[in-house]
This record gives sequence, C-alpha cells and structure tokens, in this order.
Amino acid sequence: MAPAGHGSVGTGVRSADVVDGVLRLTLNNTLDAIDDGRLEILAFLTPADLTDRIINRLEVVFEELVANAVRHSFGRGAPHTLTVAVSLAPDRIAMVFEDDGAPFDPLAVAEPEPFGSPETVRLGGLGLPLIRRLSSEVRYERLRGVGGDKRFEPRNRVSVAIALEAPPQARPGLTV
Amino acid sequence: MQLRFDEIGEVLRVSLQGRLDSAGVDVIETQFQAGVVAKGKNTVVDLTEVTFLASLGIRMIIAATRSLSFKGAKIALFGAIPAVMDIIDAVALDDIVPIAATQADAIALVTG
Repeated sequence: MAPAGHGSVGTGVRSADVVDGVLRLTLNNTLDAIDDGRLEILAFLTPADLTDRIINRLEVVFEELVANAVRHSFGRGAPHTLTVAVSLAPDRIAMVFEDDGAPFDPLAVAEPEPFGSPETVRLGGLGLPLIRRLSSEVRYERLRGVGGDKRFEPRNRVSVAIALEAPPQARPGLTV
Repeated sequence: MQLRFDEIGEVLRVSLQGRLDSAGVDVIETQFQAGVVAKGKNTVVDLTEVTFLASLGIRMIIAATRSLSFKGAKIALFGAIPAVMDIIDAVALDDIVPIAATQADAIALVTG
C-alpha cells in the first residue's frame, strides 16, 4: 500500500491510499471532501496525461456524486463515511462510490422536464442528469449483509465509468 | 471564486473568475443574485475566466435568468472555455440562456 501522491491529505479526506493500482479515498461527511478528494484524484491520474475534457468530466461527476451523498444520503453532521475507489483502464476511468447513508438510487430519479420558459423554469435537479450524460456507464446497488450480518452496515454503491477518447499514456507510477 | 460588475452602456456585465463548483457558488451566489437582479438590467456574464462549471453554478445562472425575466430584462453568457462549454451542452443550457462566443455577440443578444 502506498500513500496517494497529493502529499498532505486535506480536511475532507480521512485517508488516501493506492492499493494494487487503485486509489482508495475515505471521505468525511463534509463539503470539503469534494475539493480535497478532487485533488487526490488529480494527483493519482497525473501520470496518465488525460485530456482536459476527460479530467473535467471526471471532476464534474465526482463533485455531483459526493455533493449528493453529503447533502441527501447523510443527516447533517452525522458521522457517516463515503469511500471512493478510482482506477484507470485502457478505455475508461472507473469510480466506485460507497456510502452508509439512506438508500438513494440516482438512476431511479426521472430525467428533468425541458427548461421551458424563463418564467416557469424549475431550479435545481441538474446534478443527476449531468452524472448520467457525462458518464459512459452508471450502476447502482444497495449492498446488504449476508444472512442478517449486523456487522455490515447497508450501503449505497454507485459505479460510474467515463470513456476515454484515446488510451491513456502509460507512465511510471500508474498502472494502466 | 470572484466576481466583478461593470456597465457597458446600458448593459450590466458580470465577470466571473474561478471555479463555479459547490464551494465557489457558496462564496458568490448572494452577491451575484443581488447585483444582477436588483439592477434589473439586460446582463451579460463573462465566463472567460471560469475554469469549471457544475450543477450549482448552472442553477445560479438559471435563477438569475428567471428573476430578470420577471423584470423584462435578458441575460446572455459569453466566453466559455471548451471544458465549461461541454457542461453547458450536456444540460442544453442554451435552451433557456443564450450563449455567445464574444462579448459583442452577447450584448447583441440581450439588446436585440
């Protein structure tokens, strides 16, 4: 296990480690987790020399999923945990988010209505559509302990993939 | 995240600088809405120095568009870099907020 490359872990990140080529982040239940987690991911992916477009899409999807978990799955200030695993394959970046908050399936939320007129437009509700439109794959599972295992807290797992336009550069320090 | 207001003739220009993410919107939203809506003028928003846009930033812009429309004023955006334009396109924001490449085009959209 190696520490992630960002160096000093910010207040929103409880831990950041690279295990078998996968960046594993444990985030606090705060909005600081968005920016601090983002910096850890960027440091992890720097050797891959990804395009600005892919990095931007990754950052938006990460921001929307973490913000959604902090704002909606968790009670305010409750000591919940959000983990994110980030890995790179030749054709995509994969991120797996797990949280122990209230059940929430982002795929079950209907697509918003068209904007309509400025006077009648509905505010908000754009985060989940952004996740779906920027990702090449989104899956949701509700994980439960086998046989009523009380040691296993039920969790939400959201797996997203972002397709790469071209295979990433394989450079020392990053397993592709 | 920073913002600056100035006027170009009868048009209000709002120049944004930084990341329009959750943290950035928290910093400027009150000032942005108060500055734009209180004046009730045709407005152009300079996105040239916005490096990141997520859903809360889009929400802030749509809220201003709605408030201005009740005052009979228009708003347009200009200068978005490709990464920001990718997100604008993903939510079809131009269905409700006109998007221009240049300041001159944006001013033409709100005054035409």
